[in-house]
Amino acid sequence: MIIKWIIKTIAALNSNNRPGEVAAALTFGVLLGIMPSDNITWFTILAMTFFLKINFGAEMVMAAVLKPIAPLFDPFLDFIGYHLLTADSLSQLFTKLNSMPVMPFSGFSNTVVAGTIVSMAVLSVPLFFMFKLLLRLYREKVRDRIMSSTIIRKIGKLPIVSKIVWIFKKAFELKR
Amino acid sequence: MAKKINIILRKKYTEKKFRKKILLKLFLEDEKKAVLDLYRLENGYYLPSDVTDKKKIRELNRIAKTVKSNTGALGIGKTGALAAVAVLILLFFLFLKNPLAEKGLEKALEAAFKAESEIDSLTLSLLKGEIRYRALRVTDRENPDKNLFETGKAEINIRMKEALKGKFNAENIELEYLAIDTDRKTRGEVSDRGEENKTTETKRPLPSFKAPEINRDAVIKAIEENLENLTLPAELEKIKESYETAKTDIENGIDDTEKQIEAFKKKAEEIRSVKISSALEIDKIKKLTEDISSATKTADGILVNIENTGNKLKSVSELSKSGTSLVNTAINRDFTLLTEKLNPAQSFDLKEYIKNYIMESFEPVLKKYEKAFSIASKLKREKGEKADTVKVKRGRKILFPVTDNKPGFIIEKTSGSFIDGKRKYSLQISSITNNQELAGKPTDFSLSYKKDKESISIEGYFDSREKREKNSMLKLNIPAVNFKLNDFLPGIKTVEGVYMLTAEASIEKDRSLSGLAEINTDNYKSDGTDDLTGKTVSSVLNKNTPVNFRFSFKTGKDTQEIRLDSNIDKMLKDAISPPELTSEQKKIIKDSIESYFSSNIDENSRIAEGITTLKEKLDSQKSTVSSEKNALKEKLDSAVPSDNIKIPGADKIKLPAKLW
Repeated sequence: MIIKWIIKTIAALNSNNRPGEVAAALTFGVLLGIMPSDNITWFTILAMTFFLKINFGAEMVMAAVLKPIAPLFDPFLDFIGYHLLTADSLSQLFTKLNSMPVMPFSGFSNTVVAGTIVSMAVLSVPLFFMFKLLLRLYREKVRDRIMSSTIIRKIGKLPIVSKIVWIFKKAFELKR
Repeated sequence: MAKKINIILRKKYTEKKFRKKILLKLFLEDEKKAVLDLYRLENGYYLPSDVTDKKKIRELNRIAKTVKSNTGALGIGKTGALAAVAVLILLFFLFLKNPLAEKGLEKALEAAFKAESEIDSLTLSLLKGEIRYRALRVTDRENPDKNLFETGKAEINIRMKEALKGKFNAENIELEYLAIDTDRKTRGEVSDRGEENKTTETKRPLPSFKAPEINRDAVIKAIEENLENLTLPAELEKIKESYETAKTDIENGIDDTEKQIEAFKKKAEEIRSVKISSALEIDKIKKLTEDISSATKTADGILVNIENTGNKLKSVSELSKSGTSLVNTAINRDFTLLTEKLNPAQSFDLKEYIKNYIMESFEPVLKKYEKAFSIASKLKREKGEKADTVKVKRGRKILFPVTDNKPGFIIEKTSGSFIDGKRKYSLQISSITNNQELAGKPTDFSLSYKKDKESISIEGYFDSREKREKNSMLKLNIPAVNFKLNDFLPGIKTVEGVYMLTAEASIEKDRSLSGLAEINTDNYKSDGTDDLTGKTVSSVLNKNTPVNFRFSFKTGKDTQEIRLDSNIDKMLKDAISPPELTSEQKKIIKDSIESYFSSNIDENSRIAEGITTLKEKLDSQKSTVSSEKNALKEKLDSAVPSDNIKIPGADKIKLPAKLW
């Protein structure tokens, strides 16, 4: 599964996939990667991305990369979340939310979850465009150089690699 | 037939449409170039060219496919896949929800009690909000061979609305049975358990109490030990002294009388030797008459002395009688003293023994009570009662106030049965919750058992509210229960009877356990051993006088106070008090006293007998004096002329009266 996601991500970066799809996938990947996963909010976001035309592989790879280092962001997220959740003006709202069905499972009262939601609400658009820009730059400036480099060619000619690529081509009809 | 290019690359497009539908969906320059090579721009339209090269056609078809795939924000294929996944999840859930729920609940119990937990055949109905299972067992962490508790078949009705708010609100739980401290088939696994605290139950041996037998040796020993306190030796000594004084006086009197008699006899001899030949020997007659008169007076004096000595002898006889009486009084007094000392009741301390016995009988009940309290305590709020935040794995959880005032976990009513040993109680528990403040009441429980004439009722509560008076309270009432015990009391092989019990126990706020139990027992039928212990205890029990116990205890962290009041020891002591001794026991004590002092008594008797022998001597002296006196009278009669002869002064001679 992980190999599939990695190959799909490489394919997405190098194929004619719409950059927005990949950028959105990476943005969602960041969100899922840094948010604690012991709540239904996390699963809802994950399920939502099934409906969107984004590169699922890229999303999963980004989430998997960020998950181990997510606690590094906790102090920042906790700070934001705590100030949001303890704001006097919002206390009534959160008290009501807490008494609503399903909401206690959403993890909204967790400072890191709340901090992630707020942070990503602000950062997701810049991140999306940043990823999109980076992808375009990659495709225009870096991709051809990498593809034509001796090392990649040699790696590509390795029997095991060509075998894996062939299997995935057959399985998922990938062209490269 | 030659393969055709995909329709989207065979169509004619306006310049604007071509840009929108084709070019903007191509993001790789080589692909854009390949498409632009295919089309030519004529009169504002992009027109496709014919391509025959199969390789080129294949390449263009691939590009057409990517153009198609880069359309729209929603992927139809993905949505379909998601729908398929949803169906699969649904099927998976339908078939695997029960095993998953079973595992989940087992894990939850294991997390709560930190010991292996098992649930058999769980079925979960989300729509009805119903959970059923066949059995549930939770291992006791302190003793993995036992279950902390287990339940039989159960049906739990959950309020699903509250469940969606993250609350466990069970309207009702029907339990087939609940049992605590049951044996496990296999040893349960427990996590991070401390030192194993194995307690081996040892049967308390009967106390070393043994009523001493009253026998001759025991009495002699008691006499020797209490010699100074006995009155008989002093009395015997006093009597002996009296006898000896009397004997000396009497002997001295007899000796003095003997001497007087000798002198009198001599004088009488002289008088008798005087011969009067004629009545005309007036002077001689006159002198003889005077001598006889004087001798008669002497004889009278001697006879008075003899009478005095005889009186002393008589007083010795009285002394002997009163001495016997004094000895008997002293013996009786000493008998009382010795029976007190020998009293077997002195060693009866059954109260202390029974205290331990009762404590042992109550201990399992109290342990179960404490265990039930510890289980109830585990349901107390774990996450800081008043803290605003709680630290979680990542970040902090802000505790917002609850607006609906309902606790997160509550089982409103549980009914079923509770098994303890051979008894199956009907059980009712209400308001099992992790937040009694919100529930507004403590967890109440009641157990009742009724079979034939036996009935037991237990009720109580567990309170964890801030303003509670006590942590817990338990009331126990057993109106009348027949019992049969073996080796319950010393000297008793079996005992049957009826007991009534009312008890109250409570766990205070400082977690100390205190309680009071009143046990009234009656209608005893006991089978005792043949020794004094058995006979005594048995006789007390079989009198059918109620035996009452009032048992109070308080056990804290460092303190343990146990107190038992009972009328049994007094009853036993009364039973063995002197008036209650058997005639055989009394005879043994009296005989032993007499035997111990027999030499002293015998000596006194000998002295008394010795004095009695003096009476013969006294009688002999009296007889001698009387006969001599009579002889003198005869002499006087013979010496004095006939009636017509007047002897001057003869009328003045008085013959002594009857002497003895």
